[in-house]
Amino acid sequence: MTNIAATRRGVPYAIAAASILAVVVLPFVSSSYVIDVATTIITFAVLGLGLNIVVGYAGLLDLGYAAFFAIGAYTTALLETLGHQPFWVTLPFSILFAAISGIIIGYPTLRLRSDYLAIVTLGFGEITRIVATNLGITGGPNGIYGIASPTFFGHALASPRAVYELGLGFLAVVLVFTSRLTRTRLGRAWISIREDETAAEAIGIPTLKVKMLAYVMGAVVGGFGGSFFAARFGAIDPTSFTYLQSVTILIIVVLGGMGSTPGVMLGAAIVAGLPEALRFLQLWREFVFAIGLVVLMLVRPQGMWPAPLRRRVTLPPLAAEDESLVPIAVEPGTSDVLLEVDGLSRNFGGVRAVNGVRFGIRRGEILSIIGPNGAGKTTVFNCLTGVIRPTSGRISWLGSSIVGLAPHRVVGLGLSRTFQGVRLFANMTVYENVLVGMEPRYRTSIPAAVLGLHAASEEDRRHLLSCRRLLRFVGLEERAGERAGDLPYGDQRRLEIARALASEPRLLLLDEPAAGMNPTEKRDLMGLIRRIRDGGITVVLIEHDMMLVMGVSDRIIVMDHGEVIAEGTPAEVQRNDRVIDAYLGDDEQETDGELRQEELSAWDS
Amino acid sequence: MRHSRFTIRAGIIALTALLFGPFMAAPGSAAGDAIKIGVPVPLSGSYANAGIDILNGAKLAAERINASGGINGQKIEIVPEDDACDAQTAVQAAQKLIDEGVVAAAGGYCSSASLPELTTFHRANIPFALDASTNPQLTEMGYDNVVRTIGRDDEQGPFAANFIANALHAKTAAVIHDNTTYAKGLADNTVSALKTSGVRVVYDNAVTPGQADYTPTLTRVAGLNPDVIYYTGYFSEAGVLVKEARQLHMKGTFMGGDATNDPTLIKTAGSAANGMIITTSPLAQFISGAHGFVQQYEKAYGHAPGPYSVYEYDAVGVMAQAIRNAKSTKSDKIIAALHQIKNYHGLTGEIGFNAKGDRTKPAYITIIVKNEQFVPYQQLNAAGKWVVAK
Repeated sequence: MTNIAATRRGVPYAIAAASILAVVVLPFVSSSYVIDVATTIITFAVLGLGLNIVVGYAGLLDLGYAAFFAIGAYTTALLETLGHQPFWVTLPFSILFAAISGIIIGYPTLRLRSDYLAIVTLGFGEITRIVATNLGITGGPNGIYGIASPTFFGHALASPRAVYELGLGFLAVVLVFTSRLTRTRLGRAWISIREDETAAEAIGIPTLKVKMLAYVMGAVVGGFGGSFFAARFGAIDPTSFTYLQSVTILIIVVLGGMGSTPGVMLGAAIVAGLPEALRFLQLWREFVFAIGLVVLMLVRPQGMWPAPLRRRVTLPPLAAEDESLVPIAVEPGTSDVLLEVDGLSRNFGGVRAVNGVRFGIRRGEILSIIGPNGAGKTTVFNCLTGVIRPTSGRISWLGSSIVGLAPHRVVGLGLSRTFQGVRLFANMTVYENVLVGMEPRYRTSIPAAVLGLHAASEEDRRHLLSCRRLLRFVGLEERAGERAGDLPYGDQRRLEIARALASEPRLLLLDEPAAGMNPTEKRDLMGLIRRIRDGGITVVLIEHDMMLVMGVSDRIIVMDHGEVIAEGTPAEVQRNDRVIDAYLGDDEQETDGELRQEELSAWDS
Repeated sequence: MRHSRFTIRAGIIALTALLFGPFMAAPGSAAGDAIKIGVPVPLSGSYANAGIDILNGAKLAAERINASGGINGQKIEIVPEDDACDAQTAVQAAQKLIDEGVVAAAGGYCSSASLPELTTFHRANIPFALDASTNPQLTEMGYDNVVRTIGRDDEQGPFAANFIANALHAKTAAVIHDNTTYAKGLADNTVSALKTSGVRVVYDNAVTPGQADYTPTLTRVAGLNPDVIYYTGYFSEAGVLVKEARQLHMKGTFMGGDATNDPTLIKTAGSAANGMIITTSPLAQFISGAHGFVQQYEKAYGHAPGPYSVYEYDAVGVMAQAIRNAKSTKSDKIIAALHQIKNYHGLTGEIGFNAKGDRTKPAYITIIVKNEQFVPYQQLNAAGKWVVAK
């Protein structure tokens, strides 16, 4: 079994080695025609890898990717023909202009839903082509001619072989760049956005910035590929940058496998190579090619070489007896009240979901917010964490207002949460889910991570260690490498708590953590909540399960119809007449409550 | 499950290898007796019709040459390749032709594909005769391996100006375009040539294409009373313009550029189109020497030839003549012989090339609408005089 696994693990390396060998030997054994086809495949592979960041990783549908390709090509062409700059000097400008246009297009549109992005990018692609067709400086529909071949230490790179080798160099640069980039925390953040954007924002990912980075990084690679295209042909015109080109690049990514580097390269080889291999069919060529694509997609709906779901990782060793959280140091002199809410109201249309709520959260307590369905509990949570803005009222965290902050900023301050329904990143592994939650704690920059600087790898190691600690803390250490979506329900709940703890919050908000749990799991959860509090983290939970609430809470706030109707210890709340009227009023509920009390006392003994 | 996934993956890799198998074959091929002439044209995509028409012209030319004994005892063989009107595919098509051992190429349709093809052929020193690509840039690259049997976009303006000045003997002219790159270019070329020919340009401005009424523009032009109105845009606006010009009882001769050469114009304007003159590259149907070609084409393919097959017929013919004159299939000698050609009798007229490779006598004619039909009108003869076209 181990042997089979080892052999299987060796296969990708064997394929990679064989491909590299084939690619290097190719120009020496084949005709110029084959080399030219290979150069086209390389061009498409570069573009595919760029678009893969945008579509495959971050899940943003870009239908105008050829625009960046065009911007790179025109920048090189214009700087060479009008500015008389050598090819290599034009490269950084291509990248720069592509990045700038990525920012200009991305900034206003990325805050909208992703289907708007698809439409805006579609328009952007067409506008770029039409501008190139109509501007005098870009040569109009005739394009730009006489772009000199690049030189490399005095050798002109003009022959098919030299251009092919130049292309290989470009592909290698893009491969290293994209694979380094996607292996950093940025890569994880992109996948988390693709999986669940709201959850990503709520656990501390600055989603707008991260989406922007995906779009701009994709643009940069597109511009880079455009420069190569201009250098290869020595002439460019707008017909090379049509909507069809954007779609072709998208087909490469989808056909190859979204988010999969070898997949995208295989996709490029098929999309650019298959029509050439079918030349003998003459007029039937395109038809057979189209049928071929349909068949391939039917046979492999996830792509020819889908991105692997399970990434192996070796978590750094952790002493066997180390089971605690690292206790949060309490800064001396800070007030005992962590969070204060005053006059908090939120209207939805004419409905007052929350109406003038006032309460405080004390450091180190376990506070439960209870109340019948529709009492406004989750709305309070959403206001506290920045998911929705309160209509009026004050929320102050350690004395300063946090009203209007984006959710990821609230997380950065030390307020972390879980969701009513489980919102894990299902297609990421267990440990990756926790690592994504650590985003607010990262101090080294992304360039440092891409370059693999010592500080960055040291930080990664530290975070992996604390990831292991967290997983052990919630009891998921053994399942670190599994796909989060494959975990049993109870484990998913616990993973969500570990992910929320990953940002090292001072306050943890749990929204119905016990929903759907069996009695054993609930008992474990009570223990876990207590241990979290013992680690120095204040816990606030919304819960319907009275057994859990009464057993674990230091203090309880009862809400009804958007207002706080009672506050106190479990015993006080249970005696409160208004609570009994409003919440436990009917007989059935009361019996239920009494029953649970009996259960409770049994456990307490 | 794991194994089957692995098997599928291995299968895909094997399939890919298989697909690329044919590419790995040794370059070149067994040298037969035939002289190979490559024809890179779009055979797929939206321009496939034009490509097939051009290829048909090349095949007819080859048949005629082979029937009369070939070139210096060798037969010629047409080798088509699809360029899909796409730059990257075009390079591959040209490179494939080179690998297949063509000694010359004749063809091309979209300028955006012809240019990369030309560059590829230039690198391999293979002569390339263009039949349909009118972009001026193609012969401005300084390459010696290129000639073309069709005029260039910037030659039509001077041709039109010559006609207006020397055939119509006009004193004043109004030039109207539609602000598209092609139409604006033709208008600019015409205006500057008119000025050097001594014709006063009283109006030079654009209309917005796609409108249903151009009376305001025409009223203004009518007030200037020009002898000739030359519209350089497309046929749909031209139809409306000529109709409204007649309604305003404008006296000047109404003319159009080659983008107005479309039956739709007559459908739009009806009898108002009668008398309108169009400058255009002649269709085979309008060339007196090409009647045999038209019959042959219809017999072989069951329909009338398209606009460019006759130019391809001449491109293959002139290339064959160069090979014959060079008495060699060595590319240097063919290219040298190509530039020596001064008066090859093509179907589209006398063919000779200037240093750039453009035709010394661009093949333009004027046609006129008579009884709601396009019929040939006048053309330049060898001596540069305007004569009636038959």
